[in-house]
Amino acid sequence: MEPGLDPSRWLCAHGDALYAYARQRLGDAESAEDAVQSALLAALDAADSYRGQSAERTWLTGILRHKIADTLRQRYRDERRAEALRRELADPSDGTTGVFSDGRWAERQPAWADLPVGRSGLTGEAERREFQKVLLAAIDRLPPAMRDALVLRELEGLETDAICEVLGVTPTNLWTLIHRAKAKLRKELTREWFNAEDGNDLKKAARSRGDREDPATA
Amino acid sequence: MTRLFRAIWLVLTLRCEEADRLRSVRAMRDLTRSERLAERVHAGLCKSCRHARKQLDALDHALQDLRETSDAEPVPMPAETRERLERALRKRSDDRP
Repeated sequence: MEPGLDPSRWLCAHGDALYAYARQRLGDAESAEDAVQSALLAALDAADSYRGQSAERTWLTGILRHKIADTLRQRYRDERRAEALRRELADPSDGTTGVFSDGRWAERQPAWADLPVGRSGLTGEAERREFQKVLLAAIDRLPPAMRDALVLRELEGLETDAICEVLGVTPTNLWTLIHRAKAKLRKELTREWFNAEDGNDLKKAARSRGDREDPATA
Repeated sequence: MTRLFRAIWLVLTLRCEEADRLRSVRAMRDLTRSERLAERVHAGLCKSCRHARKQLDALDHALQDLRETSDAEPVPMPAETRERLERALRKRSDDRP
């Protein structure tokens, strides 16, 4: 075995990060544990082929990504989950309930203030982390198929064909899931992050956030 | 001629929901010229759709940021999980020739 590939060290050095990665992408602790275990065991079996060309964390994460895709593929082969997915897709209002009415916006869409993305400085970084927690919680609240489609596309960066193969859906169905997921996320962020239902409240919320702006970055 | 008629029809009939759907999937598939034109004309006339377009751009940017930084803050693995994984790895190590 290559030096430095001691499994107990993997857990100490990378366990939490791998678990967080899997937990975020699979949505539940049990699946995350199974995926991390499968990945570490597979890594152990393949340890002789590790050439040190990538960092150990990167190598392990690469293996974990395959295990996550396997877990999701298995999940959608389960007939109950597949049936839930069919129901989710067949409901024309799912995900967009209250967003559209007769094809038009049910409420006027507010202009968002800037999101704390890519900010530097202590306050900027803290606000960015706070926002990511809100965003991750909103992703976790999405219906399962929408969540999985969004995660595979936006967090894993998989192409359409690969996601369709994992979820067992057509590209058109995938686009529907992504559209609904993003519509739902925007509605949630308007309420949860900007603490507003309409533009007036939004401006007020933006002003109040501006008051807490890092002087170094303002 | 038929294509031109279809394009004009799409521009005239596109509603907010379909315009939003086109914006959501534009990163996953190439929109047709008619779809792009219809979405632009519609957004030019609809303030909510202009705001929605900016919201979507901001959300996409935030998701990209999340993808690039999501492993920066590890979540502590529950102690029981860690123990189970340690046992499984030890067993596999012992079983190796």
